[in-house]
Amino acid sequence: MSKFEILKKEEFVPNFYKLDISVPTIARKAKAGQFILVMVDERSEKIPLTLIDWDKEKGTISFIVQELGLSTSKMAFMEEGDSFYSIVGPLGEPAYLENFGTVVVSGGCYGVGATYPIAKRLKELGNHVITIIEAKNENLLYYEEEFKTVSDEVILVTTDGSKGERGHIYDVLEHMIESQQRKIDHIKVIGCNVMMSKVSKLTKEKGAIPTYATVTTIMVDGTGMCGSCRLSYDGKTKFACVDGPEFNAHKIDWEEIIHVRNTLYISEETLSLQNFSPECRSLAKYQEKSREEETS
Amino acid sequence: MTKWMNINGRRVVFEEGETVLEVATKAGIFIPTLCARPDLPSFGACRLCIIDVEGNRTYPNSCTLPAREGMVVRTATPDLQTVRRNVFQLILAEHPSYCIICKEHDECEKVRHGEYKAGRVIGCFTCSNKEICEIREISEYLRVKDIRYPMLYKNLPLERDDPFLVRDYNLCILCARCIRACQDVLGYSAIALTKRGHDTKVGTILEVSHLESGCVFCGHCIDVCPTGALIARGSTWFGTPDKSVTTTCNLCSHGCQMVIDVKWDKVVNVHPPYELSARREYCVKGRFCIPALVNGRDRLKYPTVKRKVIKEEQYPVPWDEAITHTADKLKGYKPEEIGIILSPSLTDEAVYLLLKFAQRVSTNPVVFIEEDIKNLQSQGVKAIFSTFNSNVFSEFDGLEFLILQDIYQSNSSDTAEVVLPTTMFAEEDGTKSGEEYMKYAINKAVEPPGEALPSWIIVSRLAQSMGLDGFNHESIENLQDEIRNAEPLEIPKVSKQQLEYMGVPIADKVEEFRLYITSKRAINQSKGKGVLDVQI
Amino acid sequence: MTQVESLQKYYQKTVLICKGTGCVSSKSDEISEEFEEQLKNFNLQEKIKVDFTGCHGFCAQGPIVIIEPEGVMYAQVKSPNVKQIVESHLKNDVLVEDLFFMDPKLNKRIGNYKNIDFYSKQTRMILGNCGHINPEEIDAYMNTGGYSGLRSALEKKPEEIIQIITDSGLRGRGGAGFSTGLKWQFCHDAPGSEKYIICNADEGDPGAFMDRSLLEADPHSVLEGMIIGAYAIGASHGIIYCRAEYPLAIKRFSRALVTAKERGFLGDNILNSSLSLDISVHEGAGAFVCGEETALMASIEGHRGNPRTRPPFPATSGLWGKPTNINNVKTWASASWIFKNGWEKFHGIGVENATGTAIFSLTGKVKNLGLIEVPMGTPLREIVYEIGGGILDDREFKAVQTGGPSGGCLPPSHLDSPVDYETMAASGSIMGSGGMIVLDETNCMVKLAHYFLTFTQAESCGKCIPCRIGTRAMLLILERIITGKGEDKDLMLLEELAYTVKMGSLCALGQTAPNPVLTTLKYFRNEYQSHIFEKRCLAKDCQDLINYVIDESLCNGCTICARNCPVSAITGEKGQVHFIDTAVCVTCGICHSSCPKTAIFKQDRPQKVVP
Repeated sequence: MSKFEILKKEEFVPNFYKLDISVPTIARKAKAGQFILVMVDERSEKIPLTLIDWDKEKGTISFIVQELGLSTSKMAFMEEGDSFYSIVGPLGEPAYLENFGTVVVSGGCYGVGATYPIAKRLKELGNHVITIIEAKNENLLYYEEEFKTVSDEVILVTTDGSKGERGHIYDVLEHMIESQQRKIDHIKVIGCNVMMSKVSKLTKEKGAIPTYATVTTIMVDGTGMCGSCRLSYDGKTKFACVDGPEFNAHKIDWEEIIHVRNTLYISEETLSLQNFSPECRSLAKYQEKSREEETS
Repeated sequence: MTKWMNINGRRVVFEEGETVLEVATKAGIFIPTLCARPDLPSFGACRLCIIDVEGNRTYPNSCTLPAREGMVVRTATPDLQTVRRNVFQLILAEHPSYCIICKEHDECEKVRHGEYKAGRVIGCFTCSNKEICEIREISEYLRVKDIRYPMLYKNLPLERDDPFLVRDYNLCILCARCIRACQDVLGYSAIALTKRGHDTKVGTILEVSHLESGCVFCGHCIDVCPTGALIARGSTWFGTPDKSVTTTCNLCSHGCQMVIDVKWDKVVNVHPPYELSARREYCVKGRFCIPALVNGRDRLKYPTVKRKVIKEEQYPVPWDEAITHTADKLKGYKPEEIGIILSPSLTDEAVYLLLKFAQRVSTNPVVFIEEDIKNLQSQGVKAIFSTFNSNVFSEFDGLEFLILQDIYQSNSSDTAEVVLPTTMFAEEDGTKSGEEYMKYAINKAVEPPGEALPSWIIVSRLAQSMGLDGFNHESIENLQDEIRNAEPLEIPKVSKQQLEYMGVPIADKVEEFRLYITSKRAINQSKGKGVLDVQI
Repeated sequence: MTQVESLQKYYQKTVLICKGTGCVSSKSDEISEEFEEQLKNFNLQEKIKVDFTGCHGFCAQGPIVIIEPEGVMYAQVKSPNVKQIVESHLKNDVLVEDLFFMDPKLNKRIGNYKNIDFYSKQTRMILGNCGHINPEEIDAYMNTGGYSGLRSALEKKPEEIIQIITDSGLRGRGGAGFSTGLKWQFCHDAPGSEKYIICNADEGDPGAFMDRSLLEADPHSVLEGMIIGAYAIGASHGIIYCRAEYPLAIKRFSRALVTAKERGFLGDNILNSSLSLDISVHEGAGAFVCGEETALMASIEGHRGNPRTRPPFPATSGLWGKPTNINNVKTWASASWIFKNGWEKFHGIGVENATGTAIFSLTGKVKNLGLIEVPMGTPLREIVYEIGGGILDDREFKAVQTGGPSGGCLPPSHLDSPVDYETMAASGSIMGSGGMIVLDETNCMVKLAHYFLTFTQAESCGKCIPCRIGTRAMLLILERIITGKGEDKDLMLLEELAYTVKMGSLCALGQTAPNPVLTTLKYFRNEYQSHIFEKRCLAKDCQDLINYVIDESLCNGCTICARNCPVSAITGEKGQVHFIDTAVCVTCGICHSSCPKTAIFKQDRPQKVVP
């Protein structure tokens, strides 16, 4: 088995793959909320991926990849037995976790998997954990059973209402805060920046509930040197890789992240796909067939 | 004889043989359609174009109903709209349409800058067809904001084992436009409707790959598909182009008209003009390979001269220096020692000037095809100005001075003393003489990389530097005027089978094309067919 | 002279063994061989002929053997019975009463088929020869007047023939009921010298076997009708499109083609007239939708069997773009009957706008099942109670489903309505191709609608959106309802979807697919409501809404149920009362039908009530 070899790969929901890799050094030290930086091959970029689960005894780590660009496409084409070029971690500050009381842990799309270790740890610390998970449609919901083992309540939300409530996380939260008058001590939210900014706005206005969001920014070196992952926090500049990735949501300048920072490289990201052609499986099939015919 | 019918209370004139849809469209009356297209034979599957015909019990399709004298038709009664809305909701129920009914729809458009660029489509925000999607257009027209029927995601795997195309049949609404284009218009029949009832799916015979089923990758199916089910792998995700320029392809002598989409000042897509009478049958190279070819990382940007700095290498110099160096050295050769090599992929203007130049400086016939380069060797040629890259140069005995006008780095650069970067057809204006004396316009779409110049300007400057007159055209229009009054040019025809552009093998620069050729050859071999019998 | 009479010249008696598909599956071939053997043993082979016929239409009583000229009918004959019949009846003239048909209504055995209500109350015209002649012998057909109709037709002009058909009032028997004379007229008038006739033998309705019976028992009657039709229209080619699942029908019809040609009824200048006709057989490929005429023609042309919109109609532009006339098997057979017996006779039977007879396959919960032919306009009550013999086990009549998957259900209030095209359509059903299923109180109407919709959904060609997706959406909702997960808005959604599918579909398959749902919603809405709101199946038919329970007072501990249970859900000692564990039980019903003491009964399953 070579280093960073994929032990197990599973597509459990369209576009979402769970990968298990043996990296004992990371497994030993990982804490909830931390991430790893992954390079697919020698010339690829580094992308940050949240650690979902880790097993200290076996020395394996698990993370989820959502296919949405060049590097993640390359990952989607890898098979069990292929290796990554490098994996660095665990990076970032662990999430802010204590016995708060009643905690709402919410995740949308990619964030659903990312909130799993946080919900797990919060439950271990004795919190009353309410999980809200959101997806566009019922066939994109996942980890429902896993969350049931680490939460006291699980609420499902879909955009089209095919399963659970109809709408988004902030609709459910609003309902919880206003009409149900429930006491919430702390909120964790992970998902796309737009959704998190809305949740942040909501909790700020209604009851000023402490809300902590794990931001997604562009990241290159991951150790605080390059500055790619910077964001404006409480008027100051902070780095998501060393000061975060979890921050107090009310102090983040969401407009800047959404409209300025994350749009910087859209043209390069698009153009990089122009000459990307994963090995056509048909070709491999024929080469194998002609090789068989030659030997027979 | 004019015939009359009545549509929505208006008397409308029509001709024998027209369908009601055609008549209504000509009269400016809108009827929503999803499977009908004027350039495809009508099929009648989507049932959105239904109309109310007086005297008919059921609602017939307007796309297949021939117009009759005295017919009374209504196109938008409340009942028709209700049925249409319900039928459309059925379409949406099996298509990932969560974004269409999401109440954040309008705000999301402002905030999302570009779609997620890969994988299966799980909503409009991950679909590369979002800007031109016909389903979204019709949902606007019918004002459908909700889907009341059980939703079903077909969960078919993404088909991306074939080069160039990515097929996500979870989005397919089975309008069969692609099949009609492939079978009825072009005659290839690579795809058809397979299975039956709810499992109906567009597919190939016995579910073989498209490489085997007879697909020639002309891309016409992608052009006619109303949804994002069929997309070209390398030319998606850019949204609305900044500009679209109609020009002529110069990869061979066919002269296909094409529209180049430009975004962020780069070529992102090439497609046929939307006017439906345009020639549609592109070859694989023209349809899919041009963006990658034009945007290649190692395009030549600066003129270089071979010089020993630490070791001997191609050293970048300014244009003036390169031209002067070339002109001075060329003057030292006799006319019988100079050879000029033309590439058939040059614009007419470049060819004209090169021929004129050749008349003045060389007594050897101008070489058009690679096989004739060796003849120059037997004629004792020592200096060559070549617009065509060839491996023959490294074995050319007696070659002392090679000037290469090229677009990409190659190993001939080692043999050449001067390498001059030039533009590709997407980066310059000009004219192209196609088949049967047709003249086509080549229009500039993007700026050339670095300091690359059009070939006619390079020849012009070189000739002027050598003291020749008649090369001081101020603009390309002046040059075109001169050409118009001159003798017609003799330009060799390049067949569609040519795998190179100005001597650069396309398969080297476009990975997907390389995969396509090697796959096709492997398939032919396994079937006992000629390996070279690959339609490209 | 009839076949019987001609054979009597040489033979004293004839043994007619049914060799329709039903009886062949019950080994009537072996019975035939056994008869030959036994006649030799008793040295009767010179006096008694063994012959075979096509389907009698009383298939549940098969294998059927008839002895002529007495007209004695033996039912459910098995090989061991043959010796007894030969020895007792044929040798010693003692009838074997134990093998007579047992009438379940009168509860006595009846020996002569002329006295059996099931036959005597029918008016067998089109099916007249079925069960009485050898279908593979053209002489047998001609001896009953076969091809005399063709002879007389060929002496008339085509226009006269069409007039005769129109006057007779014959309407298409494929289900649509369009005037046959008018249809022939359209095709006759269409410009073009190359025309086609097609016989639609792609009978697809589940449980329907009228066309199969006719083709297996009397193929020449269909053939003669086709030849007459070709002459009237001016066609020179004919095709019969028969579903591949009917190999015996194909075989018999193909043989009919060969023998007809030998006698000059096919080929060039038939009977010295101007008509030249050849007919070929085309087998279907297993799609119900190819019974639809435009899909059928697409299938013959080698395309995918997708229907297309009309106009243009097949009469002007059909097969290969040429004028084509396509009719059902029974319609062609009716045409030949009309020319043999006269149009006035045909017109005199039935009612004003539905002349002649109708052929039904009567199935379901009646005592006498089979193929029946009655005059149009016969009240349903007569069919169900007189010919059908009443409801099985003397239960209550609940509904009758006509027209197969395109038809609808009629409740008891409609028992006195006459069977004709317009009356059926007015009540929401259709006459259809002739399927008729009788239902009693143990049938759940919602489950029936679900069953038919499953069929149409699976057979939909997939071309147009309302049928492909709309029927599937309706099916999903119905599945929810019969498994106890129905929601409040489901009835409204069903009706809306049914309307969309009906108005939006391209062809008759889609346009009639919602009919079972619509009629059951109209007449049996209470059943839907109880499924949705109370989660109860009133008929105790839906598997997810019932439990099987053993009545302790009746159970004798015989252990038959426990041994047959596929999931081992029944426990109990021998001789002790048994018990069904409802958590394990999958409600297959095997125990219920195998209990000799009828000690197992159905009970509503308590459903979890959602707050």
